[in-house]
Amino acid sequence: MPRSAESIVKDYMSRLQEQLSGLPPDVARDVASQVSEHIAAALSAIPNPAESDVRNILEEVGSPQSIATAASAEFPSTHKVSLRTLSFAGYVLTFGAIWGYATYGYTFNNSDGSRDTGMLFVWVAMATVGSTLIGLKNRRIRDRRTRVRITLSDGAVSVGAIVLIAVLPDFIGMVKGLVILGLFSAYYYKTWHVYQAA
Amino acid sequence: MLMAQMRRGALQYCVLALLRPGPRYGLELVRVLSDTTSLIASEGTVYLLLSRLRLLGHVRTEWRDSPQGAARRYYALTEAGAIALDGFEILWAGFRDGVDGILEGSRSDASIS
Repeated sequence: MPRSAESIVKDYMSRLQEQLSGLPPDVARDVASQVSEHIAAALSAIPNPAESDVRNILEEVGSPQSIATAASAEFPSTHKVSLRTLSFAGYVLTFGAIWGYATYGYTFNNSDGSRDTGMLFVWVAMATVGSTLIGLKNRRIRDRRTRVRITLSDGAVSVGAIVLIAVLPDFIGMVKGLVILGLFSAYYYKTWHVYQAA
Repeated sequence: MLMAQMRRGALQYCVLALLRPGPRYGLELVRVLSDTTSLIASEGTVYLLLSRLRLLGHVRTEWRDSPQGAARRYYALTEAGAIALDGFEILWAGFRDGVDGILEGSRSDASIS
């Protein structure tokens, strides 16, 4: 097998392993080793495999992405809570905490003139539980590229909202909360399809 | 979509049926499937199915030496796999006849009215 053919197969296998990373580890290993054996057997049947032969064989085997898609149908998630519910709860709590903070702040002026900071505890508790749920749902996204993209976007949107809270002037009042709410709604609308399949 | 659903239901029993005469190795099994049926989307997905069938205990694997030298993984039907296949065969015959009956009936009904 020429050097380039070998590196094409190697590259394919590493992309496949990456794509299968959402499966239980022993299943992923099992599938990868069978596919690798299949490729080797198919190649050994051709006397002097050219690069095009290798590409044809890999095309027949299917793209790592398509195998990963089939894998989630073959090995459906056994989780009790659906990814859809988990992501919804995570976002509502986290974004709700940020929105609540932006809208209501955390101090209240009591009638006797003293100030109460009790709401801070509520926002922090909501954000802590919410971001934990978001972390859990992100771990369950099987396609590695989507997982990384969504994890980064979740962080970016949250940080973005906090920056907005700091930058927008307080005198616009409730509008500030509405802007934050709009940002979160738009983000959820753009990404919710990720959670529908599982 | 329809094809994908029918595939998922029937393919695993086709694999079991192909192993009924005796063990086969992966490439051989996959080539028979892709040559004779439109059941597989791509060759790689067959190995997902084989992994699952092995977890289910319907298929077991064994290594055998090949004429080319390198040892090959052979897939063999287990007792449980053979029982599952027999069960499917009975269900399938009834299913096929039922659907065929309705499809054929729908044509003759249309010609009467």
